Amino acid sequence: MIEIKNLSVKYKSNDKDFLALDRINITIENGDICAVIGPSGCGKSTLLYVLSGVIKDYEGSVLIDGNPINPSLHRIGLVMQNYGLLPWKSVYYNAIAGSKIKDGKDNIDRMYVDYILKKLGLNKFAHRHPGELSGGQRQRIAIARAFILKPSLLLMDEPFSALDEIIREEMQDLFLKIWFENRVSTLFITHSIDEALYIGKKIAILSPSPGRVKEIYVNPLFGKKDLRLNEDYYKFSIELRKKVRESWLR
Amino acid sequence: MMSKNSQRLIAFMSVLLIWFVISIVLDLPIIPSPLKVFKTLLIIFPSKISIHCLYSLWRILAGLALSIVAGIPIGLAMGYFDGLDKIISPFIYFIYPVPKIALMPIIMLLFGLGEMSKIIMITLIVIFQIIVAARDAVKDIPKETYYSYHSLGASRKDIFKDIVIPASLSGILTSTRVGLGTAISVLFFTETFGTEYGMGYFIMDSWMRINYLEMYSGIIVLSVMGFLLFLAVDKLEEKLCSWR
Repeated sequence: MIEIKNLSVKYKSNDKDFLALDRINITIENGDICAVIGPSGCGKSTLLYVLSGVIKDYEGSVLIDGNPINPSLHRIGLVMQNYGLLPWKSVYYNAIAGSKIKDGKDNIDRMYVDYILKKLGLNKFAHRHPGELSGGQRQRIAIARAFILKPSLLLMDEPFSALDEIIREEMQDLFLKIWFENRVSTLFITHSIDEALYIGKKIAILSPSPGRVKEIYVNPLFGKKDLRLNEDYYKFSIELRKKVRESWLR
Repeated sequence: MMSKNSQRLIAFMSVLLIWFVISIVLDLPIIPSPLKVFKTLLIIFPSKISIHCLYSLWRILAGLALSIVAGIPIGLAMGYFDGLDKIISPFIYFIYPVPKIALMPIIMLLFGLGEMSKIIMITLIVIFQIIVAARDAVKDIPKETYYSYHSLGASRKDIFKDIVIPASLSGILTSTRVGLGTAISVLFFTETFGTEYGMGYFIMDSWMRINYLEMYSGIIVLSVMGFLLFLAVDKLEEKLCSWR
């Protein structure tokens, strides 16, 4: 279980404190996906950097199964907006990089690596470099790396936002397919209401800066098949839009 | 499209042609025909020039190796650790513009007239370019590149091995190439003192003996040496930085 309790983050700029996040409380049960949706500049990325151990200076607590979050102890998969790949390493190396650091070179589950690469259609490109591939393919490398790590917490920062619409829907489907096989506790950040509804089981709506949790919406459609063809999808999409608008326009 | 090699060949032939025309038009002993020079070169290279060539090559390679072995770790560390950069940078900026070649008398007094002072001279000049290039290359790595490694709790060793070193390699090799040109000029200068071996010595000695054909042969050998070293760095970059 991931527990974020009273998390506040302040930045110092010109001797003044700037409050980026204000007393955030979110709980993610094991095997849940929580979407965090908020307007630009509300501190979404700050939240992600705290969870991934990049920002260490914060108030409140972030616990994984009761222990304070620590990148050296926990297995945290991070999928960033710009994918965070190493352009000088091969696709294969990028994909195993997380597992290699956590488990050592000799303890990588190579069967699982091959399985994930194949599932994501990357096996043909394994020896190419990320720079030779398209945005959608690079995105898949980042997702492969995160799943191959077998993380206890998966974090994603607007993972699909740089993709064209059709590729994006395809990637979202592919992601969900792999996710349902593995059921990793996931927190993902988005500014797309449709994406939150499509992928999130819980949807935390953040207010404009400083980020506060305005509402946690439990998605009744989560896990339904062919969601985009479901009539209810549009009904709830409108409902969610209303809630988001109320939280952002105040 | 012509290949790179045929373009280079055309450039080379054009230079020879211009040289040839000038030698005919001016008809002076100081500008001999390239045909005569190449003929002399073929005759004297095995017996006379090769030993000088080896000496020069050894000095350049030793100077470059020393600059790389010492310069890269310093530069990478300065790029990665801001605190270190703040301490060392002022010194670098102060020493960098000093014309190190002017320090040659001091270096010769300290390290003697032999190999040591020549290699140190080359190192002194090339190492700063490498330090600055390595540091800047590391500073140019986007912060986000480190984030996924931080989130993995990666060790500093992993971060250097997977991010810092490969990311800065291309910049370092480019500065090595620039440094190479400088190193050859410095080499020539240092070889005009306190030695009887090296291309610098050979060229100046031929000049003193008013043997222009040998002098030109020496210049060509030195140029070809530089060109081949240049090419070697190019190939190395192609191989190590194929991802670009």
